[in-house]
Amino acid sequence: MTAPEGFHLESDPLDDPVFATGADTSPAAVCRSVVKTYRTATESVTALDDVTVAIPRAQVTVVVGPSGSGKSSLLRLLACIDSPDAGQVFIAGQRVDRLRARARRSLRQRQVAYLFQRPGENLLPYLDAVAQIRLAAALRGAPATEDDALDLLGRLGLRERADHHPAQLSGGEQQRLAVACGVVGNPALVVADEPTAELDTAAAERVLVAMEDLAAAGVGFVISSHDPRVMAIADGFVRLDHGRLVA
Amino acid sequence: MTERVQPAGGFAATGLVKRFSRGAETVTALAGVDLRVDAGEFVALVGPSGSGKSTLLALLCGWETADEGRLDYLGPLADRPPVGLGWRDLALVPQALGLVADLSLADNVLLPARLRGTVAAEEPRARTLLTDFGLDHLADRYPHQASLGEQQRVAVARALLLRPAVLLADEPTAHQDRGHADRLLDAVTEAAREGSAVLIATHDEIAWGRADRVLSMRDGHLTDGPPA
Repeated sequence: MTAPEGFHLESDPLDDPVFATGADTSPAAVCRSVVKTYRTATESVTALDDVTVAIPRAQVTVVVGPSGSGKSSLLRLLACIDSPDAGQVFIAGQRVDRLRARARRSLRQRQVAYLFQRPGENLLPYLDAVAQIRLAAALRGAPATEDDALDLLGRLGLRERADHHPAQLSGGEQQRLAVACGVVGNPALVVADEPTAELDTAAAERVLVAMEDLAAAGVGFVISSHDPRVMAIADGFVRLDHGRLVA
Repeated sequence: MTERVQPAGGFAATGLVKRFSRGAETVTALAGVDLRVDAGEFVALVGPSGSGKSTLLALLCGWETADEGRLDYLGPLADRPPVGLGWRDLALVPQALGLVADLSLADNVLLPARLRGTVAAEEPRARTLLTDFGLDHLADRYPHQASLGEQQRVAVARALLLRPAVLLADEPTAHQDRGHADRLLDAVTEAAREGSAVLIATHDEIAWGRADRVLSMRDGHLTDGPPA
């Protein structure tokens, strides 16, 4: 077929080597006795101190705690953005903290999605909704057809937005699209940092319903939040205070 | 490297109006803008922040829809909605750059070719652009390992890769020193000489001097010439 140009992805899989291949469906993300310390010119701050947590697949886990408790540091370890100073991190059953940068990036591409707080930061401004999803899938090594993308948009109530660009979407719609990009290709884990902080109640609830629905299909969500609406959909909690796990 | 005949075609806008709601207030970002940029022209769009430049670019590339007015792409691009245009028809450098975090800088430059399935054919040009923009030694780095200026040059290279019929760029030299800014302007000028219709929003007065025409935007109105 003659594929449309440009902003719409080709219908064939993007199977060149830059896109990761294969999908590991191992079910867990685990931090075991992790320690993370940040050093400034004058002091050393322990952001995480001997923290052990397991993030199950098919559930929503919410990380709670006051500001400075270590929530973001934990999310950055789980998202493979940072490495611990001590302890171990496993994603989809594979130990991450000993991997070289390239291997860690490859694993992250396949198995981890990260949602920023600001919806627009999760999307590419020049791609329509279908193309966003298909590019995310291709980067994850699990190419999606246009029909796959449309089905996913339909589940999230965005079917009529298929050819819209991020600037044409509301903040809530952008965040739901980001969730779609996060789950396409079946990563083990979607890490979301305060994903509803910039949304009104109705928009936040639709995002959370989408997360709950998609988690049930097998992806593990781990969300840091102060938002009671987020806590209401939690299957489990990780409570942190001063970098330590609390009961 | 295969020389290709690139699609020609500029665009013409008449009476574009765009309003936004800001709480109870309605803000008119564009108050009836007429604009035409033909193939082979390099036009600089200048004006203070908030004057409507980015809104105009968003309309032209189909990210926003005008409340009133008409926008036509010309020549082979005619009768196609902007959102249906590909990178080879209409390429843009958004202010937010929009690099893919999980792709190397070289692969970000190649993204438009990747979306078309023509990576192999475009690799030589990607390498040339990387070299021209002083990025060849950074090709394997990722966006977070590059400075903002380097990332911006990647975004310009990405837009130029397929020799687009229309090139829209929002402040493409904003994060550059003079030397790199000049190299970017050389490339943009060359794109126009090769037939692209080029419109760049810019505060860079050197860029005004390089353009064939300068248009000034103020409070949603567009006038010919640089600002007074």
